[in-house]
Amino acid sequence: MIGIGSATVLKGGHLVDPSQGIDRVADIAVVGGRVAAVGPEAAASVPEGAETIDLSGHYVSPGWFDIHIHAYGTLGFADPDSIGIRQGVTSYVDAGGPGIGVMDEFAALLGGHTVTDLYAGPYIRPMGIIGAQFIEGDIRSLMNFPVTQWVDFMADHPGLVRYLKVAALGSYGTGPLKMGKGLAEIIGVPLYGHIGEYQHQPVDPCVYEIFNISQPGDIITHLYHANDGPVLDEDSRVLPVVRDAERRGVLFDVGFGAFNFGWDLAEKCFAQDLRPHIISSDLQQFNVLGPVKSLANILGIFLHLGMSLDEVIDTITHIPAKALGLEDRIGSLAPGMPADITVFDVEEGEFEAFDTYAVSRRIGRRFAPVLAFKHGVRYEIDMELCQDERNWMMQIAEDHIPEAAARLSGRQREFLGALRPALEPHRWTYSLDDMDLATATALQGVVHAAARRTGIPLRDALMALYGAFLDSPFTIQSGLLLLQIDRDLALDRLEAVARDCRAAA
Amino acid sequence: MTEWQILEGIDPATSEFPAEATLGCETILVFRTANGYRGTEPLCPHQKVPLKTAVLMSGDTMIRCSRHHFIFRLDGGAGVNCTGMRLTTYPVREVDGRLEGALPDIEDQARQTGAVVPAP
Ligand code: FES
Repeated sequence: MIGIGSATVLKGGHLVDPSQGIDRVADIAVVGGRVAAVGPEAAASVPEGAETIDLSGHYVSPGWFDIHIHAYGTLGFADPDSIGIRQGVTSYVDAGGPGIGVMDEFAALLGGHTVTDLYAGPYIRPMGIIGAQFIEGDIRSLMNFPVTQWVDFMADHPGLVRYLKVAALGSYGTGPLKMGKGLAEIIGVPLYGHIGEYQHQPVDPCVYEIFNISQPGDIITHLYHANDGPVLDEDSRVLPVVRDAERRGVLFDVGFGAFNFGWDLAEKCFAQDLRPHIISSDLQQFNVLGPVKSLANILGIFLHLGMSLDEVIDTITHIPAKALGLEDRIGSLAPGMPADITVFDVEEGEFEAFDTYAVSRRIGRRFAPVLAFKHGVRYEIDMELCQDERNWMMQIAEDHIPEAAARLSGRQREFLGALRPALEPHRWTYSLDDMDLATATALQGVVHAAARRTGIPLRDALMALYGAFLDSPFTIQSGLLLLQIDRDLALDRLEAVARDCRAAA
Repeated sequence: MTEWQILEGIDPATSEFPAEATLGCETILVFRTANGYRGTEPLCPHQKVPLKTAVLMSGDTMIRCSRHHFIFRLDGGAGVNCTGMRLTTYPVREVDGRLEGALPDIEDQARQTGAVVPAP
């Protein structure tokens, strides 16, 4: 990271800013972290001696905004900036990692702790997404539906939550979807509906009801999935219910994912002009090595499918910003806007692009981020950083104490020392077939109570817990983490890590 | 006690690993690792994608399915980044230029899952 001072001119780049209808070479003046001017007057808008960065030969756009990634929870990353600013994405939304039951953990761990602006798109289910095995179809993972808790959280954290995620799956009809729509109205955010992969759950006809329930401004994600319940009928025609929703102003999002983009289906949709309003990656632990790798990596696919460069940039800047009520902060380089800027190349050649079903096509152009600016500060691109095993492979350190434990403060060890006896009366085992969310919630309650008793901030307490069990600081739901650890191992480890503190006392 | 059987359809000298082999009436997939040979069920427990393209990792102690990158320990089959999932694994050894395999050590796998081991 190199600070560029308070005034800079980005010179000679080809600016693509659909929000302003700009698609030409234009200089950009940045003063105090904001755009001061665009075009011929840029140079005159900065004080003499301001730094000039030559971007000739590169494209420049408003900072990319990915509305569907996973930073928190069981799909997240140890270093969320590795899939954000370091890949040219200046803002993003965590799509369903947390639910209201763990929003306090999410806010404590990630609120303001990434360079990339991270917003929340919580899941309607209180624990959020609970594992790679996705058993959210079980009505019990909805648990109780704490409307007042949602309302209070929204009031305490204005601006953090940008949509409410629901999944059109499960075997309880349309009830959970309607409850989701009702809650979204209460808390005043768009509904964000997941269609697509259902893992091992039976597909319910309610999948298509999401198109009816969604209102103008609501968003449906995984448009081009080729699993059961696709947007095409048996003759590969776009379903009327999908067209109706599109006409009403429901927005369609790509949510490429690990399971949810099929070349053949996407080609058939484009042939019928069913296009995405928003392109998002759904980057997570299980697709970062491929096929997604980065938001940039999937953008070339949409050029190949027939979108123009301007249209592609619009789907990752202005349109999603407007959809989530963030157009005053994201998606435009109009004077006065934050200087969140992505510099990129569009490389020509022959590239193999995979969908999520191991089918590939040869595409002729691909996006290559070159530089990123966040509030005017320059960041170098490193597309591979996210692929480091320690960043995506969440592994409980069963046979050793993680190095991070040695760096815990006395207060953090004291917290772990208090946590151990508090957990003692609880019994737990982990089962995929019968996920015991009630116990996970109870364990989380014990963690939070121990933090309060010790007088330690929740963030420090959670980092202590991760430090005792994880080699990398993944930010996973504390109760769910404990539930996955053998009880004896958990108690012994807490004892061992806390011991140093007692010895020192 | 482990009952070793000769693996059919595989030759340590010429097969390209991981290679499929027949153990009794089961098809297994055999990996050649820095720590010797190891057998697994041929399909990923997640969505039944063939593990033939799986990648060895962490000093050849684990494999990573190439489709969604779920990782399993070769010793015992426990899911690493997919806690609660399990891959069936088989002991494999080389004897006089041939490979022999055995059914998974039921007792060992049961111990690792915490399941009750039935009395013999
Ligand atoms: S099929 Fe192997 S990880 Fe999904």
